[in-house]
Amino acid sequence: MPNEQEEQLDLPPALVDALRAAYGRRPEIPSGVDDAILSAARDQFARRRRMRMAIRWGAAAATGLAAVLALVVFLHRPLHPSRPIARGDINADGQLNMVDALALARRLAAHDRLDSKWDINGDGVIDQKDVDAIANASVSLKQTGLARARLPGLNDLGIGRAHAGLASASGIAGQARAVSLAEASPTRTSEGRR
Amino acid sequence: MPADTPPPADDPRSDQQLVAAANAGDPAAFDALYHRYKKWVVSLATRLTGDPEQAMDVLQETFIYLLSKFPGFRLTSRLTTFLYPAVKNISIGFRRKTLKFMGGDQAFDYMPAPAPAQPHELTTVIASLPQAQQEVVLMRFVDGLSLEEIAIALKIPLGTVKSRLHNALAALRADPRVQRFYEP
Repeated sequence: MPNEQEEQLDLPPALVDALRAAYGRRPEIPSGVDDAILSAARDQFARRRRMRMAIRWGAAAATGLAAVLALVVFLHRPLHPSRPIARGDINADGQLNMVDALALARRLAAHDRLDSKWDINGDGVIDQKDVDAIANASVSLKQTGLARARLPGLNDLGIGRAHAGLASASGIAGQARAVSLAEASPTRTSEGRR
Repeated sequence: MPADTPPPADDPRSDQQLVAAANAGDPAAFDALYHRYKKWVVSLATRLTGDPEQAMDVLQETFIYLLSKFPGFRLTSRLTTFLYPAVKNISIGFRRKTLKFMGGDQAFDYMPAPAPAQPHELTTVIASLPQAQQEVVLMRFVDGLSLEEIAIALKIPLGTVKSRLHNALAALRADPRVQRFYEP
């Protein structure tokens, strides 16, 4: 049916020619109209080309800047970012504080296995002098603001209020000495509480 | 323009190739499209507005509209199919402005084909058809669009195009003023 209908959807050639003659007039287009349209088009194409170039250059500049930044960051990165403070950081938490001194004191008291790098003062022996050196270093760092670690509380050090009061009453200056690391060993602490 | 570039009107590239080149920023490709279709647009605009001078304004507006489609223009059918609704709507806009200027305020969405400057018996016969049928007949036989292209350009189903054309041709065949064209 559609094919049959399409065959009928035509006009005699002479009638088509007559229709084209009647309606298909093509007036002459003034050259000024051509020029106006084409110059507007060329302007727009040129504007877009400039914009594309600007975007391309901007992208290249941004990429270059990002590459430079990445290089700078790469060159200034810490070599061992997760390494703890080298000497005296007994518990390897990245901070040097009184807890390290206490940790070494406890290991000494318990006769635990000792690491040779804990010989802080370099006298070849790991003993109370190394504990004191760590305590002094941690206090010294805090006083100069070089270490940002929080000061350990009495509970962190495993020392009861009675010990603190005693140390204060004895008039020992400086927190390192007031803590009396040698006394902070488990044995002595439990004795003090008793 | 480089010496080896052919003149725009004789550009051997297809419409699809010219559109692709214009999308890539080649102004010569747009020039070629303009020269290839400007007469078709002016002819249609003249028929729709009935005013050759207004047709020049329609020509400018139409190609500025086409220009606004670049880059990113996708030609899915013939360019005439794309241009037809643009020319028609722009022509309607111009005629509406003219009517308002002349004191008329009637709104119309369909553009009746104005009588040519020199009235013809055939144009009288066409004018006697319903407006929707006139449009389909002229698109098919004067503008040379296929039935599918007319359906796309008018955004109506193909069956509707066929139906309108069928009714229009039946009316023409029955009209004694054009009987001579049907005689062998």
